[in-house]
Amino acid sequence: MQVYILGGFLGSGKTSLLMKLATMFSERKAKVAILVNESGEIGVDGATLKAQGYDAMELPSGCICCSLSGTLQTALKNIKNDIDPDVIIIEPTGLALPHKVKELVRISMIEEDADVIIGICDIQRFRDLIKKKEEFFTRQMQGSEFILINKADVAQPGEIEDATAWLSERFPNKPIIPVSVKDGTNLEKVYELIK
Amino acid sequence: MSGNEENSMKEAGGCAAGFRGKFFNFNADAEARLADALMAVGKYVQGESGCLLGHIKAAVVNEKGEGITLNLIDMDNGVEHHGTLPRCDVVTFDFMCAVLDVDEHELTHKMLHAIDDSGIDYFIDKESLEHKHHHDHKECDDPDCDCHKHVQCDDPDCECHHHHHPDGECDDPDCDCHKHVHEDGKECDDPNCSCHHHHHSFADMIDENGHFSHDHHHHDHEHGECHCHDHDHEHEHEHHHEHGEECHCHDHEHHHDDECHGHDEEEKPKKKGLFGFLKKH
Repeated sequence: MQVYILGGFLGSGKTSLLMKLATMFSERKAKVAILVNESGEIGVDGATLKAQGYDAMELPSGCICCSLSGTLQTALKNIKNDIDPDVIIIEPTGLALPHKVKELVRISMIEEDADVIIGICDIQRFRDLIKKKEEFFTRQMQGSEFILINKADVAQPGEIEDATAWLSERFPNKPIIPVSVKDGTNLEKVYELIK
Repeated sequence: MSGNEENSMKEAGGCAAGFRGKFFNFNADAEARLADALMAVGKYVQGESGCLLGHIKAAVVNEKGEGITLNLIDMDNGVEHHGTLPRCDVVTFDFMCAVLDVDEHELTHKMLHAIDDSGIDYFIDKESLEHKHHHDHKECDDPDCDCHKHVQCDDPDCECHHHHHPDGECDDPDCDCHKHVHEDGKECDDPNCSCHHHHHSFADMIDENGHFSHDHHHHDHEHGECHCHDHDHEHEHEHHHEHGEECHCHDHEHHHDDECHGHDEEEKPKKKGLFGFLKKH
């Protein structure tokens, strides 16, 4: 069983990527389980996923200061026992630190074969994010096995190159891949990397 | 992890707000109005934070499970619409924001006004506005969770605790509840200030018809109990004037007489709501 954690800031395209990845795994006959969590007490992604035909488990956001850790581990154990999927995709909130989610996965004793953080960022707001929240964004990306630069289809000339240079400087060992979740650019490449 | 969630949000300077409810007679026009509501909230966030970093989302689902999602993450791109939904008599909605560098209370306030001003026939679920910091206490095993710091308050005049300390009063000098924080995010050092904006419960402002009550802006003036609005005007002026925008302080006044709905853009005519005839204003 593989566990994928989608790490990225609010609005970077995590939910869209999740749907694309889930479809790609399902098309290859893999059994996929989805866990989503959102900031605050009201969630939208769960409803979206269900409306789009995906069977997702929403982690009750409830009290964001004290409910997630035990709930996540319980949910993972239940999924393992009840569904025993080939793949679990976890989408934390856009304000979470994915490497800490990974730590929780590892201590939840679901005997996963691999746990992979896929970092994703939005090229359209990359500069604004770096300008305002560089340290936080860096922490979000630090545990990623590789980083996707999303929305490459609407990038202005030079933006992808600039973002790649910035990321490569800070994360020299991580592959940086421009993608467009919307039009599918490079998603097969991502699938080959993670499968 | 729980500590992480709280800390990471704090670390990012983020906040989340939202509520759920029902829309009636939901059709393409209502969808467009909902998109306008998202944009109204987006403008507020952009004005406060300087840019919209985060997302403002709404999911609308009918009884068959069919639904649409409206997502605003970039003011220039506008609201993204995902999915299609035929006209429905009743749908449920979830409306949420997770953004940076704004006050959560004021964000909720703007969201409620955005829905109320949209002209959509709506019903807001009061419970979705009630803060749930305490409902999971029995489940939480995090010794560092601030929720557990329920201690006794020694200030007999303190009124801060009613909403946040249902298990008892507080004598923790570091408890944020004791601080009078104004809508501009600055702590108040006026010993005579009686502002308690952050302690007003929005759930209490939802009437029996699920509507956001307009009374909240003026009820205290009439009784002379609350001076919140004196400061609001000062702060609101500061917020908007700094950003070069027209002052919206008076919008609230106008809601009451339904004569004017904002100065800086032409508004769509307000639809008469299902419960419109019950509205006081």
